[in-house]
Amino acid sequence: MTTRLCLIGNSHLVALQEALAARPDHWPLDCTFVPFRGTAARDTEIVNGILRPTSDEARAQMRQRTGAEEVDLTVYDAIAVVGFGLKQQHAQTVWKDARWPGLPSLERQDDLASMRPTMISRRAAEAGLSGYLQSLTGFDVAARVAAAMDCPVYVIGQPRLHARACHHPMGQFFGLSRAIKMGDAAEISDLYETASAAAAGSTGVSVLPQPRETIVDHILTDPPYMAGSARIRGEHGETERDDFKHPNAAYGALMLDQLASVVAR
Amino acid sequence: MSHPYVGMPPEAFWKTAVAETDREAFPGLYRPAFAITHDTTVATAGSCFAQHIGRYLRIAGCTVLDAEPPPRSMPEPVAQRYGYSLFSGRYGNVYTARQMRQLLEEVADGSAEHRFVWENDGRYRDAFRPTVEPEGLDSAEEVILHRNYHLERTSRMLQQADVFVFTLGLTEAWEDRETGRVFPICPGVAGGTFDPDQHVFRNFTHAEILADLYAIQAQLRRFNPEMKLLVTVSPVPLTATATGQHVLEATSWSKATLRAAAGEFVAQSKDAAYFPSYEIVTHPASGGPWFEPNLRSVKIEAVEKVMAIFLEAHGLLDGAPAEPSQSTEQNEDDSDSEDDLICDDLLLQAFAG
Repeated sequence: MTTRLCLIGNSHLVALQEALAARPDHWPLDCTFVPFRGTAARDTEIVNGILRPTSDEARAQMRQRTGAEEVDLTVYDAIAVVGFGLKQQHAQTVWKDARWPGLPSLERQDDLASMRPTMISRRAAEAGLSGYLQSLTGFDVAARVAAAMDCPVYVIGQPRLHARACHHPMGQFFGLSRAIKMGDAAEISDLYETASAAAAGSTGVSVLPQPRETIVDHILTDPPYMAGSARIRGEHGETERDDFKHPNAAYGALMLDQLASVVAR
Repeated sequence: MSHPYVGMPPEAFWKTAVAETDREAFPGLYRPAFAITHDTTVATAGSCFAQHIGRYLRIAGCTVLDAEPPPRSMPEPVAQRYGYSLFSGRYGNVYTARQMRQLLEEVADGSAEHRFVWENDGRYRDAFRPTVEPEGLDSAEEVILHRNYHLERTSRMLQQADVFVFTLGLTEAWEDRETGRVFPICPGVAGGTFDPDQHVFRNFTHAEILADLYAIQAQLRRFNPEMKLLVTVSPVPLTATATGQHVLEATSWSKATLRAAAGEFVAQSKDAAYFPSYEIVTHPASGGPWFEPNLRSVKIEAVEKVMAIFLEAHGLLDGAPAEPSQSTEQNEDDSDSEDDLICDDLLLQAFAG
């Protein structure tokens, strides 16, 4: 039996679109994609199951990318919210500012008070990150959809950064190499997973985690799952390929596997 | 005819200082004994009303110290729930002068003790700040780890402070009979277990509070010999009293005692000053009513009035926004009332029936 699935997301939708295009009959899913750029998806409302833009920008984006000015969510069996800034790097920024018991680097620290980062409890770190994730567009949209609809709502975050990002200023900014060298990567990754799950629990949705086989060193994505990745099509139909943030069709296929599995339950 | 009242300034007379003055600004009500500028490093502590002072000083562009800043991405409501950035240390509410004194003594000389770790249902809390970890910690050892860290970071913070602002909130406290140490809230309310043989009710007298204020000042000078002390009294009434008196009567006694002790202390101390936030909110001449319908929470308009008088007197009002900015989207529905403050003693309200 085919499940009707609506996927609302940003540029991270493309990996799923391309996976589906490559093997259209592989998954028992009838997918509709509703892409938005930036935070335009916040400018929407759901009235009687109809998703409508509330700003000119969101309206223009929806018209351009779907050809319509509203989406009837009542016809779907499940809804997934994809990307929209939900990413592991937010756990990295917590780690840059704070350390918590359970981090190997903290266990080795002799003079805790001299550390620049603040020592906080693991629960405080998780609550802070969960609260922050809930403030992002992804959970904003997911929470509103969940409140308005009876069907299950899933959240799919963005993948961890490309392994090569470690040597890029972006990766250095997030302290990726340092976290790995200090032995903290596994705990930071776990913080992200548990905080995401807590955010989902607070908003009545479910999170689908990044597939294990795509992760290296706990906080990075294995390059084969990003090679040839494409972002959302621009205004003139162009796509950008190969960056440190976006997954490819192989990754998209694994996420569709997960989606097919959870909606079948 | 000559007498001392001839030539006294307008603020010495009720008619010119109160009845016929601008009662929004109350000129002359607060004359700073020492300067607070944008370059002054300020530390705050006290009852929940003290949170306003730190918050508005930050808005005015002052350097308000924070010994344990939370991660920058932590939303403000979460940070507050975990006791971050409410005061200059993550000590939670410090309601009594005795509690402030013992905290400073512990920061200067002490270390955390296992006897003051409270265990309930497998979760562990610091008896002297039981609400800063709302779900408690995993073990007594972790509580000790966090407390020792807290003490050391507070010590380093105090060494940087030019001015310490302390808001006196209560005279009532519960004391550990064996050690004499007082808790911010009665054991059993927010953790721990009340034991009538171990936990003794105290209602501190004027003399005791005065002695504690002197001790506080002496302790502060150990961290920075030049540190100034600004004392205020919270206008917030008691949530509950254990004196056996009516809570209204107990509130009057408590606030009058705190006010008198603060006044005597400041009158006799160098480098100490009093700011009349209590008078501005509670005195009928100040207008109002300045309390919310629960007659306890101070209205935001009253806080603005108090802080405007304070900032104006220090030349810090220009450029300060009228109220704290709300930077995160999720705060847009927040109310501005006193109930947004973190007040541990509100927990007692649950037992009002």
